[in-house]
Amino acid sequence: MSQNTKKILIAEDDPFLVKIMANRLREEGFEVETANDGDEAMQKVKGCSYALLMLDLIMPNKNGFEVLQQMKEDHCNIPVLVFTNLSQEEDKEEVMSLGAKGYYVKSDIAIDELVEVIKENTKEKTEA
Amino acid sequence: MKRTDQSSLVGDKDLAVYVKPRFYSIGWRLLVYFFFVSLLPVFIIGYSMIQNSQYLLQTEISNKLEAIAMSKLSKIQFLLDESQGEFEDFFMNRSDLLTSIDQMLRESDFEKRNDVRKDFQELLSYSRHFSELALLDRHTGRIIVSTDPSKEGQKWDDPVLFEKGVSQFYTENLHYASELNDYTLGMSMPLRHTNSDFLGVFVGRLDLSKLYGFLGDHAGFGETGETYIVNNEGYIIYGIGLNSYYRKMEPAIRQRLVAEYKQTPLSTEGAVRGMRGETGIAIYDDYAGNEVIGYFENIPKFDFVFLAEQFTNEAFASVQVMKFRLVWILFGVLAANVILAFIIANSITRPLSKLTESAKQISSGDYEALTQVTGYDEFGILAQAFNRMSETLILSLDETKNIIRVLPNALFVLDTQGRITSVNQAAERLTEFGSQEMAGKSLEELIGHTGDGQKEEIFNLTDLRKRGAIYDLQAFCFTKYHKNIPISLSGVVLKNKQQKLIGFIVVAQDLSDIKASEIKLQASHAILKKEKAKTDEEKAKAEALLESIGEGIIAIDPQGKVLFMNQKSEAMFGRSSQEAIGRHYAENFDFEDAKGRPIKSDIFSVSGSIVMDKKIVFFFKLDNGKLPLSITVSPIVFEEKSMGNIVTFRDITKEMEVDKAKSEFVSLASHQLRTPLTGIKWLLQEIFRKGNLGDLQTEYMQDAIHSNDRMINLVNDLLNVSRLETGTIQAVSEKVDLFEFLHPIVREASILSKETGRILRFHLSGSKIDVMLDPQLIGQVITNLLSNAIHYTDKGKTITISAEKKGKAIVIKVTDEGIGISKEDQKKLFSKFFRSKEAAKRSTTGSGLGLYIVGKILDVCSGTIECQSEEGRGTTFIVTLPIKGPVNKASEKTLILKKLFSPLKK
Repeated sequence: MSQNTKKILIAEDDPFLVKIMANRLREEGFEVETANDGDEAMQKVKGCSYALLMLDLIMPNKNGFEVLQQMKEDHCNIPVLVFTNLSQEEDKEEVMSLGAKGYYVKSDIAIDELVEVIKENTKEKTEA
Repeated sequence: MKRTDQSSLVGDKDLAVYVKPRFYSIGWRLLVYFFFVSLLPVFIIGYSMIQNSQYLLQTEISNKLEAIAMSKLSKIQFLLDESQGEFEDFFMNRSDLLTSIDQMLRESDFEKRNDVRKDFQELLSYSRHFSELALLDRHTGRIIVSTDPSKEGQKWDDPVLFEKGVSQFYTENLHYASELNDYTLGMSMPLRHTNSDFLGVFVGRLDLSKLYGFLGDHAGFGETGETYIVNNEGYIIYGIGLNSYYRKMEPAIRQRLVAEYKQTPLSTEGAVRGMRGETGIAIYDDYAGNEVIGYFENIPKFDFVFLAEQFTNEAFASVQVMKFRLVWILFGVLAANVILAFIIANSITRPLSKLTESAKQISSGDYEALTQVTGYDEFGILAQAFNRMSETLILSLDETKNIIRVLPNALFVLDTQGRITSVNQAAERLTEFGSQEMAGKSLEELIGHTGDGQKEEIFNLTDLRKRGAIYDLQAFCFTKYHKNIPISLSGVVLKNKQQKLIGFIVVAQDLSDIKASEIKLQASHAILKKEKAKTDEEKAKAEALLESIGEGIIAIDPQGKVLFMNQKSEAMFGRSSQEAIGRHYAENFDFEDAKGRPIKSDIFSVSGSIVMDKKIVFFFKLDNGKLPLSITVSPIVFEEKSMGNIVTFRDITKEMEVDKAKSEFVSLASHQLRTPLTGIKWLLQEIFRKGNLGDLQTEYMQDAIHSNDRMINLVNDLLNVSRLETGTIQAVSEKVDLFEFLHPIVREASILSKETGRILRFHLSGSKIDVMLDPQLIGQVITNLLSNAIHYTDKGKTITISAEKKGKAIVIKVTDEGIGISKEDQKKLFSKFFRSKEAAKRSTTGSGLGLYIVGKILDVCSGTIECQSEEGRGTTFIVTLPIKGPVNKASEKTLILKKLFSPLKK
């Protein structure tokens, strides 16, 4: 992993949102890779070389819950932040119990806030 | 006042056999009880005390014996040491004597021998410990000179003394010398002249009286204590027979005994163990066979065993006394027990036998047998109760007799032979005979089958006896004045408790009046039949009506028994009405709540005029699933009396399915809508952020963002509504400080109000208020109310939010000076998609979901909301929340159930 540029994986099936997030994060100096579904996300995560995984919950092939479960079983300790439009409290609880570091409802978060959250979470990682 | 005439009614005199109580009588039981309670503990305590004191005493005696032995032994030791000193010192500064001995030996001068003997005798007269002194020939050992001249020329009784004394100072052991017929202890040493010439062996015999004195002195040793010495072969040297016990014997017998013991070696435990070299204390039989406690010590220096013994019966005399006393105490307690038991038993059984006596008298017919037991103890009370009982018996007997007397029907009491023993007044009236006239007659003389006055057996007594009772036999009574009266005759047998026949009772009813009224009765029967037909028709109509209703209906009586079930409910529950009717509804139907828990409460019992809430849904368990039902319970009130309840069931399967489908759709749609909205939101934000926009473009951009946010909010609202409706939202309970909770919400609202030119005021009365609530949900409620207030209030006007604690609740008020809400609209205010006309006029952005959500949230959070408003003047929304936080929804349901229906008691 490069010392200066932090590599982030965005697992999100909506290309529109992927584009906005990826562009903005690259602009902020991150190295960004994307996965369109759960399987792809799992494959990319296998190398374990990301500073952060941004994970959607509703995705084809493998949903976000399954990805988290798999990662937990594989002992892959890449920090995961969940960005979803599911806003029920039970979903949040389940995701957190599966080891996610944060849970954000996409429609309720501004893109600037999202960037702040990502920065905050990757900063912690390098310090640790 | 003796009553004798009632015996025939009551029964045999030997009704019960009274047995005298024997071993199980109270007296015996008391005796046994007292024995165990008092005698046994006394014995156990006394015995253990004796054991304990015997042990203590034994220790004490052991110590005493040891001390006595020590003191005596040290005296003996001292005596021997002193004697030794004296023996050695005989020739100190007596060279003159040595010279004359030397001369005597050289010259064989008899005169000299006499001088020497005189000198020896002089020495002996000054001596404190010796009884005999002598000089032995240095070669032969024969006595040359002795204080006892008769022994001169003989050998000394103990040759060892000479052999040892040739070379050194020697003390021999205490031993028995048969020549002397006594014990002896001698000392010897070589006698040398100053020029070292060996003159001979000087010997001395110890005077043992002092030693014996020590042994014989039994001070501090009671009557039977004695100390004595046994030599290494077990022969008693000295000391026995010296205690007071032996001294009381005839001297001759005593001496014979002593002599005997001196000739036989001792085999007592003390002697044997002492000879083995042991020192200690034991209880054993002494040489004379008396049990003693003895101290024994082996003294190697003198080669003997020292023994100190005392008879145990003296040593332990105090314990013996105690034992003796204990026996007396036990006897005393036993005697006291017997007397006490006798007295108490007597005091208990006397009133009891009196009561028994009275009871016997009563059972033999003397109802006035009052008991003369007085006193205020249990027996007094029992006696009073007994007397009361017999009084009541007399009264009730009188009552029975009165009833019989005034009975309209004639009553004859017959003995076992069928003879009349007593009759009542009605019988006298019927037969026109007096009771005295009838006594002893048989029934046949008065009553017959036909009206022709023929005398025949009307009741076959054997038959009656077999059947127990015969009813309504048509017969005629022949009166004294020859009238034949139609009667109905019934008879029963009279038995006592042992089922023994004691007579018969025959009742005769005069039918002459009844015959006439029978015709009237038939007429009214016909009328009744008609009326019944009418009511049956009405009932059938009502039932048909109920049957045709599309909802399930059952009727239950106040005890919960099913009275009626219509066809629909039969179909619903899969039970036929025949099965269900008459049984308790709880036996018929199993209901459970939404979570599958059985409802055990007495669900259909609603008292008074309460009608059960329709909203509560029960599920009826079917074989293949559950049937959701909405239930209404209404009481049936007839002439102000509750006759039971009508329960109406509506199958709400369809409604529930529709509800669920709708909620699922809204949930999915909301999620799908949110994703593109998010894209728009972020995209707009990005464009806006990148800048380089003109003023108008910036304004348009803001508008676009704002309107997209509204869209998102609307979707969020819809999602909330669907979740609230499906019950997927549950309130959490967090402890918050009311001010800290409200402050950020109010601040956010005040930014909006400032921007739009309204004034927002915040009042919080009281100090720190801690409250349990769901901050997210309640925050949404307050934000919503403030946002509404700002929206519907004109610029420059004031909005006030206040919060206070009122009892166990928190009251939050949001007051505005806005447009107000009409009374009509206030009613619909919290329903879904409702917007008041005025509100719609003013703003088109409202979804009509805000207050609906507020209402739903407050339901979940156990809160309430109230609206006070006057059109054009303003509105106040009052939110009330329990200070202890939301009640769990699940338990709330059961709470409602509990409140509405009292639980079924089992």
